[in-house]
Amino acid sequence: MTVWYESNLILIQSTFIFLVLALSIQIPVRWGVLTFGGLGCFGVGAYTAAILTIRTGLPQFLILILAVLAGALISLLIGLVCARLDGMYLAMATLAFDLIVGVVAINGGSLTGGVDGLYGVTADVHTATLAALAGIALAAAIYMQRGRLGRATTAVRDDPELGVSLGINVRRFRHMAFTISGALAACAGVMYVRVNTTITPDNIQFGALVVAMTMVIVGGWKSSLGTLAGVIIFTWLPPHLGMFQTWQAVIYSALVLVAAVLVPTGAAGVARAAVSRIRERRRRTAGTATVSAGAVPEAPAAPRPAAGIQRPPRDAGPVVEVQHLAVHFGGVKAVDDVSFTVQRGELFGILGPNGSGKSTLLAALTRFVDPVKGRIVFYGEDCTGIAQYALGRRGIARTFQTVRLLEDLRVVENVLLGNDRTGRGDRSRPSARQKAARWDDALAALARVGLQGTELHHPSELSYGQQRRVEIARAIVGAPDVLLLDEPVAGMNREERVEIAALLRSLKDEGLTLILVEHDVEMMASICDRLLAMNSGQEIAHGAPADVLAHPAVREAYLGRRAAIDA
Amino acid sequence: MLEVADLHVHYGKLAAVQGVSLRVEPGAVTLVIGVNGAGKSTTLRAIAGLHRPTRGVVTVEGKAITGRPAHDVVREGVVLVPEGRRIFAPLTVLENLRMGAYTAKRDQVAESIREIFELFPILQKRRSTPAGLLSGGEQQMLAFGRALAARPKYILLDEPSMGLAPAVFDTVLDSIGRMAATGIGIVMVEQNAEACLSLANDVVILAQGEVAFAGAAGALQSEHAFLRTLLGESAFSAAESERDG
Amino acid sequence: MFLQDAINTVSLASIYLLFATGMSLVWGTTGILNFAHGSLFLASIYAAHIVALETTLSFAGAIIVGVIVGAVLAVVLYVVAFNLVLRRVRDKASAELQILMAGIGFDGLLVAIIARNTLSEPFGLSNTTYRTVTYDVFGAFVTNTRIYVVILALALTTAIGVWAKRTRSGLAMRAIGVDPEIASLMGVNRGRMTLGIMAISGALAGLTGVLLVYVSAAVVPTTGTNLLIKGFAIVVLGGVGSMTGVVIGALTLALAETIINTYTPGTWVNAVAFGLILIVLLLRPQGLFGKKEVRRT
Repeated sequence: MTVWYESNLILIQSTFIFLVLALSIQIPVRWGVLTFGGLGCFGVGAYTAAILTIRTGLPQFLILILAVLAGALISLLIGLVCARLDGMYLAMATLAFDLIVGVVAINGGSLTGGVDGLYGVTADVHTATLAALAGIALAAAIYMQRGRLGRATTAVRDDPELGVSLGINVRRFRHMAFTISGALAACAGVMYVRVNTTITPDNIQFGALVVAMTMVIVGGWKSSLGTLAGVIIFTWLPPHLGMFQTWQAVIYSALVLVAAVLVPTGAAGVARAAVSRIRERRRRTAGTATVSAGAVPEAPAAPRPAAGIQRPPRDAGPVVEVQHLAVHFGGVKAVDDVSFTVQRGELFGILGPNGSGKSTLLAALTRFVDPVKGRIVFYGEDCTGIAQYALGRRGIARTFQTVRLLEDLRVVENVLLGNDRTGRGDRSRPSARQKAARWDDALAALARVGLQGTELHHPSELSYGQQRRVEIARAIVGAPDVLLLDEPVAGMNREERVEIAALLRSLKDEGLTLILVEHDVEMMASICDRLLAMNSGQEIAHGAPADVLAHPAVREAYLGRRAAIDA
Repeated sequence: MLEVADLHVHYGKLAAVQGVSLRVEPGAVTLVIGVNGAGKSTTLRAIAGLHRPTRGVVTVEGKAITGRPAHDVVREGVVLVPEGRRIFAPLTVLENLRMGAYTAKRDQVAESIREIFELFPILQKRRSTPAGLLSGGEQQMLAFGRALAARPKYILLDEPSMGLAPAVFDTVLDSIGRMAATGIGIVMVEQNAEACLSLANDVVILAQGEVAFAGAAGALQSEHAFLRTLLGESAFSAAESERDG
Repeated sequence: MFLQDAINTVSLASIYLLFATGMSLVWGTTGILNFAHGSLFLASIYAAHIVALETTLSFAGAIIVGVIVGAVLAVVLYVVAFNLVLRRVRDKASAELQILMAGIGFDGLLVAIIARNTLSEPFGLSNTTYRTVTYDVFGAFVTNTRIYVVILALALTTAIGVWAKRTRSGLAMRAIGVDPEIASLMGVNRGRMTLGIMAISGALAGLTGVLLVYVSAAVVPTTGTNLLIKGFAIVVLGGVGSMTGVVIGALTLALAETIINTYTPGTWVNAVAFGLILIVLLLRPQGLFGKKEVRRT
């Protein structure tokens, strides 16, 4: 053991350093933030540690903390500067930052040692310390991809708009991604200097980034364990490459290319797919029910005394008040002076042909567009200017026109997401008991929409109609006061429409306030208490469904002028 | 004749169009109506080659064009004017028209554009304006002009009324009539159905991806029956029972 | 000294212009930021270098080798990497990550092969019939190579500008950049057009490579990556898809670098491009000449 340890010491230490560096790339990418700033922060950390060690007598742990802080701060700053950038723009801008760090190191004079770098940065280093640091980083990374945080970061990556509607402060998560990435990279830099006693501008070249990225991409960027596998493979393999040693960089790049094109989820993704295939086969041979069986009930479940879903009583008075709302795009008045109020427990429908402004109205209600005029009041509180994510936390849930489920999460996890930040319960660190309660709530919500038995499937394994019902489950699981539905039956067949209509009606009977935007006149007339009909951004009729449908302007908007005149 | 027989289109698992058949003769107008999500747009897009049908046949003058890529379908004389117009906003009006004439013979382009300017004089006046700066009605004219520049035998119109004021749409309807009068067969998808009915020779009503009614426009003379079919039974019974009671 | 600075700026800008025009064409038409553009440039030089070891190359011969190698590699890159990714990918976010990674992988592959074969030493063209002639113009020095570079850059970018503005296929290219689906409805074969644009872009990278090696005698494997970042800075500065923007961007960067090289020890010169990127992205993300997206009403 000792002999093995002694002879492989360099590889063991490298593994820990590369793991921390690779995680500094994997974590932000896993969150959908394509930053390459890790390389620059690695340099910042390494140089900070080297300079402090040479010039001051500070204790080592203090130097580590200062260097990590420097990396985190600089990375956060980059994040703030690049707040408006995404995708490739962000990748290139952060790469530019990396190269600037290199140029600064070269021009740092005696402070950074110029092109020669800093040598003889000697200090005691224990492999155990390195192992502890790498272990903490890995544990933190794994913690962050599980549970509430894991769900939230998946939403931030795959559908930020959805995340915001579920009460997730997407911007703060992006800042966190930059900060964590900078801190880890700087930590890797300190570890590097400790082990190698030297840092030069050559160490922060693009090539180092490619190596770390190879580990992340080939290992699987969605999983920290995958990254660990990548780090181990690419640290321990090269010494055994023998005559192929000189081909190392070529092989790494080829693997990145192959992984990016053919296996974008990397080794971890392949392993996960294999495991689920084996489970699937076992389930099939065991003869248990598959998705379709038992998933579609004969009728939507009857209203039940919700176990975890209970609405605290609120003051009387209108739930939603919209006053003289106007939204303009350039010169176009998409919504023009629309007012209405919705009472508690009401099912309120907004009707109108394409381009009539009803979707824009909904976007304004959910804070996706800013009105130029007017007020939006929920429960007597002016919400016209509040942040999008804050709206979700006030008991105002919504669904979207298209299916917005996260494919990386299971059905039940998608539903849990609806309770993570917008739920009524305690939102600070949940205890085990609260977690169990949340789980029960999610199962109850799924049962409520008639989807018991689908919990552990992934959304794409469900039919379109079932997927839309999962979205309703996600919207009601946090026991909202108001539910806004954007064309909930679009693309559904007749039976599915009838089922959804009955479900919405029964939700209303339980006391939920619903605002429904739909084209389906038939359904709107049959289930809504009141209707608002819109055309060209303006209200054309407002009142009981029968009156609204009989209104000449509505018939004209839907059927053309002649119909209106003839009638 | 442009003929569609038993067309099926799927988006992944979702069946968007299930067995739609329709036809249009040169110079005639076939109106396709139905609520949102009924499969109207998907039908047109599948004819134009933007979606590959899972089943069914599309023929032009007897020649099958099913599943051919969009850039080939144009060359068979079938052009789609998409929903929301989708003109090339940064390009000028003239450049948009030249783009429309991409498949035309080079010596015909000038002639085509002259004819389009005759049909839509407003486009000539604004020929050097970036198309994004035109008004909604003008953009619709440009979208028509761009389609005409390909010298098609058939034009597919997807919701030409979208986002237009009723008065503007009346002039758009006029130009659709004029296009048909030049011998072009037109398949038109509309929500704003009644206004277009006078133009149509044939009507197809789609519901949930299937044909609910197909026949001559005259068969829909009774406005009441028409409304029932379009809006569904219960909407009307609800409205009527309220009024009666 | 002013005249000498002007000559240096213009010839440097010409190199940048040829390189960035190729990036901008691909980016503006397909939305792909080709991360491997710098390696196409490097591989073309390396190919000419290999040929020049065996036989004596004329100036035109070296250019032909560079252009062909650049174009062929660009087409290969599109077929084996970008096109495969675009056909298999589920959503736009993963497409972006995968396109970027595929570009980095392809770039790394070419650079690593060249670095391995050259042991990362500088390399150039050993056997060439070309002779550099230096002229004295009112006290400023200018070589015949620089004159060729400026003439070629001006001629080619003007030609591409006229092509995009006046011809049917140039119009189709711009239309694809605006709305690829509608362009295909008008009869444009999108796949073939994209391959053509990749080939032109690669040919420009190859041409830039051979010209640069005649100007500076030798390059190292990292030259490509540095030039890639500069190309990105130029395109971002001018605005994606704008030819005028690329010209202004190239001149701005060349001028800034020339000034720094002339009036400082020059070690900061590489930071100019990177700093420009950050400033431009902060103040005007659509670039100086780019248009903000026209919102559909």
